Amino acid sequence: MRALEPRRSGFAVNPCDGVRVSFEVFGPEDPARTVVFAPAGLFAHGRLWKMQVPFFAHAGYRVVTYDARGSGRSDRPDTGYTPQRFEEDLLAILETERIERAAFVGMTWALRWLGPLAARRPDLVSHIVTVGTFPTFQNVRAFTPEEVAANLERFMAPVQPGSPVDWRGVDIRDRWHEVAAWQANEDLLEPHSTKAIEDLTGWAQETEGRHMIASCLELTSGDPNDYFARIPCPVLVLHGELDPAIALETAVRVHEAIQGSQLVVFEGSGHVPVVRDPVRSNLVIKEFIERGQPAPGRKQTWRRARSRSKKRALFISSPIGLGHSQRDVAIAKELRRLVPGLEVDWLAQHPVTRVLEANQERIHPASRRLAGESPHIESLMGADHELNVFQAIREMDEILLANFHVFLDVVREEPYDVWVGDEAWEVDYYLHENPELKTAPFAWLTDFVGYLPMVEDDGGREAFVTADYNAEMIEQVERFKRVRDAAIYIGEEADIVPDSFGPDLPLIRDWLPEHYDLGGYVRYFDPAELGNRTDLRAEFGFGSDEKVAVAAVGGTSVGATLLRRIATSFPLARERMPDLRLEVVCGPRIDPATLPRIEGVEYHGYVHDLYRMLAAADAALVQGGLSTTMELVAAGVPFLYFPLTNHFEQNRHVAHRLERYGVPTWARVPFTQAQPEELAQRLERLVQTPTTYRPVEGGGATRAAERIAALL
Amino acid sequence: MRALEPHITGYARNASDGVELYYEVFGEESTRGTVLCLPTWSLVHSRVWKMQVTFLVRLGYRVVTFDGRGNGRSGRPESGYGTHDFAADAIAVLDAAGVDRAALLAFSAGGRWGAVLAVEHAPRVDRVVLIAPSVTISKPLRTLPTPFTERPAQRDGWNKYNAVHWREDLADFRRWFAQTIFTEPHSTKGQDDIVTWSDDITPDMLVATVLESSMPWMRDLWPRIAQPLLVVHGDEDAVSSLQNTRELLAHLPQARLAVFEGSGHAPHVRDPVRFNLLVEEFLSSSTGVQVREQSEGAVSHASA
Repeated sequence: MRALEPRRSGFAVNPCDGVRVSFEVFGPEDPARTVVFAPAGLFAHGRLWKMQVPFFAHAGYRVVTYDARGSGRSDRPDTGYTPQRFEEDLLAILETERIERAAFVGMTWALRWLGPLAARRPDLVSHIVTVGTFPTFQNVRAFTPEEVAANLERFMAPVQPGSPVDWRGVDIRDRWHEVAAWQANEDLLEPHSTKAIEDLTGWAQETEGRHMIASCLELTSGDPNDYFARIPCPVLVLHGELDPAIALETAVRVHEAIQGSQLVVFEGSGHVPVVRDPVRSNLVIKEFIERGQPAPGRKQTWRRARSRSKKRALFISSPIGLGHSQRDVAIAKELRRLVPGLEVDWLAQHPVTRVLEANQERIHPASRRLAGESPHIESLMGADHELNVFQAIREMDEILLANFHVFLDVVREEPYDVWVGDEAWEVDYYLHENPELKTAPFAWLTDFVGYLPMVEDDGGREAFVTADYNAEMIEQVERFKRVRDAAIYIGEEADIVPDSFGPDLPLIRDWLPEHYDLGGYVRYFDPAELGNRTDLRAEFGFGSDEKVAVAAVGGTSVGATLLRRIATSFPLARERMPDLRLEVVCGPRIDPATLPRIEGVEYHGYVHDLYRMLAAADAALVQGGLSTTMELVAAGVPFLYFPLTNHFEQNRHVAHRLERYGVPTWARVPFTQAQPEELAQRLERLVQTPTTYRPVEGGGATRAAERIAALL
Repeated sequence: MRALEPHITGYARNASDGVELYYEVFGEESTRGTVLCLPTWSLVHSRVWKMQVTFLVRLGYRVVTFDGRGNGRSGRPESGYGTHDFAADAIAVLDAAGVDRAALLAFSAGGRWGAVLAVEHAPRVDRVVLIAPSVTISKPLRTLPTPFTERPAQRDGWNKYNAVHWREDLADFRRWFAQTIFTEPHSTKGQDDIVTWSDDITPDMLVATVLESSMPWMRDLWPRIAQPLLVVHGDEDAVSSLQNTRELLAHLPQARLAVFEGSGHAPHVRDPVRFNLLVEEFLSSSTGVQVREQSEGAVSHASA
């Protein structure tokens, strides 16, 4: 049985030589659109398009297929196989079926009559799709009768007995079945193509060797491609990269010769992608017919699944906080170890890209199209070390949407085997809002779960809105479990804050472990491998007879106010500790020139692997971000931290975790208390107090990578 | 910050009454064409298109937006809020921005000026997308519980849609109407935006938009829309009804209706991804063939 039976079948009669051509019509009776599939010469008749017909008919097209003269149910004259005759046959079908306009799809030889038809009758032809095109570039002019005779003689030259079959006249005449089987085998070089090879071989039996020979000679004798320049309609050249019958180079030349045409290359495909990769072929052809042109920048190649030898991962790393990039690089390294040959691309923006470049990671070019998240966050910071990061993220809705669309463009064009999103809010949120757009496994990572209110004097509005955001997230995750194939919490159970998601919502502690794997902290360096402390200090020019404090504020420019405050407080601290000096690390987004020049204070821009410098210090002064503070805990360095006012993550989630690791409560300095005298006092206390931190376990990157690798 | 800043900003002038229109142009002139995002009811200004602008520019379209008279940076005349005033404003903006032809995006009340532009300025409009059009050709969209200019006894529900109430407590109406626009759960951001964008309008202006909105001629004009037309409507729209839209579309065989199930009045804001992808498909489908698109495609809001 066929997937769809023809609505009507019949014969059209060529008015010039009376040859009858068999055609079939599928699909709706009175459609707005028609697509005509032309046979690949005599080799394969109308059934060649069996994988296309039902799809287009169900999409609302009238679909016409036909058998070329000399094959199938059409008449088989001894002669009369010029492009002119084929064009007349097609016109006869259109007339019989009263088709006034159609898109035409043809294989191999068909462009030789579709092209002239479009040139002569632009009213009839809306689009041409030519697959595995065989244009005979060698004949730039029509052959003379003498040349035809010479061709025939060459083509029909005798063959040594016992030699293997080839595309030669004598073989075609005497051993057509063998030639057809051999040719089908050659054309369908994709692995596991037995069904398609048998089909093609079978269809080829519905012509005879002598007709095949006649068509080979006559189809090449007539029109010398001069119609290329005269085709007025959009043309799509669809070709298999490895086509053994007609080299891709030939298709490229056809594409270049037909102005305005499009070339789509199926990587890993042979001569008949419409049979071997029917789904993609159907989608490409339909999109071409309906849109005429693809969006700018759309990739024009597609690699068939079986030919994708290397597995590929796309990492989407949030730019808010540099720590994400460090841990993601560590996870990616582990992942490459676990999945040999894995290719990792990064969709990321500044300042994450700074870290990625330093690690020679591959940044996807579409990253340039991402709308800036860091500038947005920076634009909302208050004067006094204040940033309500929840409201900042909430105000970022249009930026997150724009960036989700960039992500969607990337994954529509490039088939990744896994998407990894580290606090990639836009990807996680909009995938849950549009679960049908998810086309690869998705691994979600975060080091905190749950927005918490910080503002108290707003009549409960922020508490209401954070709870509403949490409720939406909970509903999304519970309704569409299939969106996150892995959800990894970068931490341990005890790191989870004791708060609830909001009124009538669960405790974060109860809900989180049920919906996440607890991956543990991702410590991206081993304190034991930092080496001898004296050597490490020497590397940064820290002497054994001095105390060095390092101040750092992460990846955005939000911390500039804090750095200025620390720098201006320094002279007072130095009065208490004359052997103290201060190294200020501005990071990638603060210009050191904008900070005050003070004796004993040195400024640095971006410092790669900052944790090494921090580990060499006697004390550190940092913002309240998780990554930097945990680097200090891991390295056993005493530090003061200054959470941004109204920053729920730094004040609630991070502070909770640091207390658990044994960071004293007085080490946390609200910015309002960060006055010079107070700072000097606490700094002195810091330098004098030995740390008693809990050790930070390693192996987090491996655990996260193992979880992701399981999806590959 | 915005996802994308405008490349050009300027003021166009409506020649007939001198009202200045603040417009923004995003993206370069492009072979793909221009999309004009029409203003909607002057309750809000052009930022109502913030979830579409960047997407369309990235696709290769030039996008023009402008603040409707009475809001944003456009002029605020005492009167002159009829459908043809807004349509003339749009033409003035197209002229000032040097745009010959554009596809129109129109939301709610914007559907009225969109219809006028499509028919009376047909050469300048190549296709039209309407979201939840507030267009009536036979009977009114709704009967108010209290006549619009009379003092309502109660101030609940659509009694808030009332000239007296607006003059006494416009803030209350703005909040209520923002909630009525978004019937989807978890829509606080969309609601807050509506409230913000209506922050400095006057009750008199808003009253004028209602009193001057009569358009008995729409019955004759509407069926003459000849451009390809996509209409998007939420089936839980509490402002303009899907049923009304179905009746409107019975007159336009070329129109394609996409029903967003579970969505309220502003699906382009609340389900921007799906809406944008639909618009992408509609804008890029070929014009050469006379296509009768599927008459209806329904998608569901994920939480519905």
